[in-house]
Amino acid sequence: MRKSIFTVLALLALAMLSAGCAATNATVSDQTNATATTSGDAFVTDSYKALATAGITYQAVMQTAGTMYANKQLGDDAKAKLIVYGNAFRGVYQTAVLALEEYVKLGSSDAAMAAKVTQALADLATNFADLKTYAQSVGVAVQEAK
Amino acid sequence: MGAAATVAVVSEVLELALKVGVPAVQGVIAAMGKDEITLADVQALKGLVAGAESYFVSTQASASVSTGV
Repeated sequence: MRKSIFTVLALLALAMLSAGCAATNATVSDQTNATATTSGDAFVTDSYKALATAGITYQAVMQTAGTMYANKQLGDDAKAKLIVYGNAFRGVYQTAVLALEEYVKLGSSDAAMAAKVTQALADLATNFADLKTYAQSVGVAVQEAK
Repeated sequence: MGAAATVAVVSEVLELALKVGVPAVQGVIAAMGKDEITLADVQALKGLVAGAESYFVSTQASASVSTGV
């Protein structure tokens, strides 16, 4: 049985991003109501895992694309588009990381910053889906190790 | 995505990790295993994602991958 690790990583990244958004939404609600004192930890953990998973998947996709290009399995047009999608993802990713960093620095109690992290994760999910869809359309798939 | 679906995906990743030991999968598992996240952990995420161009600069090899999250 041969499976594409890319597909699994992509599914996991999307799952983590979805979970991260849901968790952060709940946390913002909790903080607004000032009822939970430990929700901040879950918020940070979920957000971190979503970002880490998305970042690692991005690495795997782009590394594979780079190898395919070097092996002339990808053309210049595909390379150019992958760079556009990749950098779009990277920009949103860095925004989300900076927002989470600021949130942690503020002591996990700033609802406005939590909302920024939540929005950044939602934007990241959209950008990740765009990158994934295009990468798959040109045949980029992380190969299993031999 | 529901909890059951998430568990199914995680199980699949674990199965694949045991089977092939791909660094990317190992990195995901390392991230998933963290129970406490420090400011340093979050700051380390900044270096995880390189510019897209960097993966295409060499015809011999693509950009190095670091999954030490």
